[in-house]
Amino acid sequence: MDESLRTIGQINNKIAKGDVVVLTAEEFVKLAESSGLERASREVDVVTTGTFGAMCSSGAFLNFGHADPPIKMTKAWLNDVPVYKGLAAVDGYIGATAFSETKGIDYGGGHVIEDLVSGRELILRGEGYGTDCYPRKHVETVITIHDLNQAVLVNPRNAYQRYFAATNSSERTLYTYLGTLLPNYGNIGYSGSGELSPLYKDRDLETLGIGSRIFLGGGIGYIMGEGTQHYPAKYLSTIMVAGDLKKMNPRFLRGATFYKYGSTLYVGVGIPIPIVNMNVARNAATPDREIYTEIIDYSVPSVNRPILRRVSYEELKSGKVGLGDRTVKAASMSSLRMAVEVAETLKKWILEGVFKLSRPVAPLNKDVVQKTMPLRRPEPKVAELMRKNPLTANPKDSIRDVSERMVRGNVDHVPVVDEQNRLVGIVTTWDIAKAVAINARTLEEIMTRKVIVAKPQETVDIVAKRMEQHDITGLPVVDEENRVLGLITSADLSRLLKTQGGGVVVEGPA
Amino acid sequence: MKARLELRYSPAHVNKPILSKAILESGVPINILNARLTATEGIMTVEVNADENVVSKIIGILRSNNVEVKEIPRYVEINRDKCIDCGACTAVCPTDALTLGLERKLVLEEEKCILCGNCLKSCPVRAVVLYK
Ligand code: SF4
Ligand code: SF4
Repeated sequence: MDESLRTIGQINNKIAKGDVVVLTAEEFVKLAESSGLERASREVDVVTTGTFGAMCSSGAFLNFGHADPPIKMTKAWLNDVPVYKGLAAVDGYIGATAFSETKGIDYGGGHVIEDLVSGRELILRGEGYGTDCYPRKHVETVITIHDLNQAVLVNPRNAYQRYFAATNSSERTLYTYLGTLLPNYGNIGYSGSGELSPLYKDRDLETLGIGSRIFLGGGIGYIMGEGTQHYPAKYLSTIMVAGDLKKMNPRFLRGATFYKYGSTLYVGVGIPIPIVNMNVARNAATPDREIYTEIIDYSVPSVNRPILRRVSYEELKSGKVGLGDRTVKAASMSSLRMAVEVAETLKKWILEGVFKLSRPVAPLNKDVVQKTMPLRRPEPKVAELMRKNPLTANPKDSIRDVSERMVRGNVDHVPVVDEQNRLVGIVTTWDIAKAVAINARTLEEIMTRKVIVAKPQETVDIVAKRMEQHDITGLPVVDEENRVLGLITSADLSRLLKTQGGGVVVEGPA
Repeated sequence: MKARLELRYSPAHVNKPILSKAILESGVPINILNARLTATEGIMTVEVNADENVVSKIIGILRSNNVEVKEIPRYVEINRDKCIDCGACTAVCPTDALTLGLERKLVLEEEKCILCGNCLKSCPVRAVVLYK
């Protein structure tokens, strides 16, 4: 343990007397660079941090009060967004990513929370099955946050220490929780405030812990404990936070929608770091150029996505990042301007004496690791479902000949292969119809050369999603050498889904 | 003056070289910013850099050839009350019409905008409004 510079009690006394010295993390980085860490750590009592980003794991507990006659709501909606009702009669939880049953993801739980904090009217609808003590079965009314008994923001995972940066090597635009990713490494999306990042600025989790008082959504919040997916060893710590929604400010809680991804909530979080020893000071003085994250290719449909390179927040914030031999535009999904505003606001509160620091009642867990979901049920693989030895053709084959074989074999897709059985194209019944119309003679005149394929070990629902994305109905299955092993079609998939009732796996850590 | 025009025409006129005609008759280049063709109509956004009377002449030529012409005073507008200055739109803007400037606030340089629409979709708080 480093030698103590000051205690939280001493800092609070200075706050009471009005002579506390507070800098934002950005200002502290600059001071440490110009005057040296030693002097900066002696002069400054508290460093304020801030972040303002989309935090999907956010939501609020609401108590609606009892109607007369009362209802035990088993289902409830606010502006058509479903509220979680697996709780007591008029308690509910509105999650940021829940979305409207009438408007879709354009209006979600994040927007409901913003509307609540803004004091706007919302339509509450509830349904119950009616009991002796709760006879009512339906309720529909208009409410504002002032009508609620309690409205408490409780976010299971906020303020990631740092976050990955995303790019896209594929030829299709991707819509992700790190924004629109243009094809062929067209841009980089990232998140996090770097040298302002609340958890990175106390990266050894020395001063913050359970019970720490923080800035949350423009009001006061508290750290409840480690956030979900907390992974300190990789500097991917997170916190679970709570605070009184009624006292928050809509400027720092903003409903948002990521195009083709979903709705979410932008949350402003700021943590004051008491400069209690040199290690804490050193961590708080870490500049953007020493805070690294990884650029990841989000076109790979796996949680183990390839890392393209390490990158500092300094480079990311410059807006231009080198990738291979190119320079790629980088843009943040979180707002730096707002992150600064969070840190400035918290600084002002402390200077004005309205915000005191609290000593945590217990530290955050430092040993926990993030696990992935075990898949213990057999998942159908392409190899099991594909048609083996499908009808294939050669580029020089005549269209008449191939169309006859397609009719005889009752198939709609024919992979086109070379002498080594390597895939060079594909033709469908539609191509054949087109060939007749333009008087083509051989397959190579009409075949599609850029073929979307499947691999035998891929799971069926990934391939189903791929068909949907490219709006196609069949994929050749190829091995590592691009040799055709089989064919999988949407007809094969719907046969499987009929017997299974499958779905599409969606991954979402944001 | 730089004028931006939205042209709508029915596919029956698609094959007629109306634009080239307008360029020849007015002697002013017309820059195509954006073109879309649907089953029922073609929509094009073009830019003309010329005096006001030349612009009205071009509009006249186009209209007399059955092209519906609408002047577009500006392309996109940022709702400053909504914008959180995240910059998500800047990465997808092909012409750098949107950038983060002083104090990391969003800056829009309208002259650079080609109305591609990328920024509309990429904005998480729907702060970019397309001017129609
Ligand atoms: S419409 Fe396109 S060019 Fe214009 S500002 Fe938006 S992204 Fe940039
Ligand atoms: S994406 Fe939207 S909120 Fe973000 S800077 Fe652009 S206009 Fe503003």
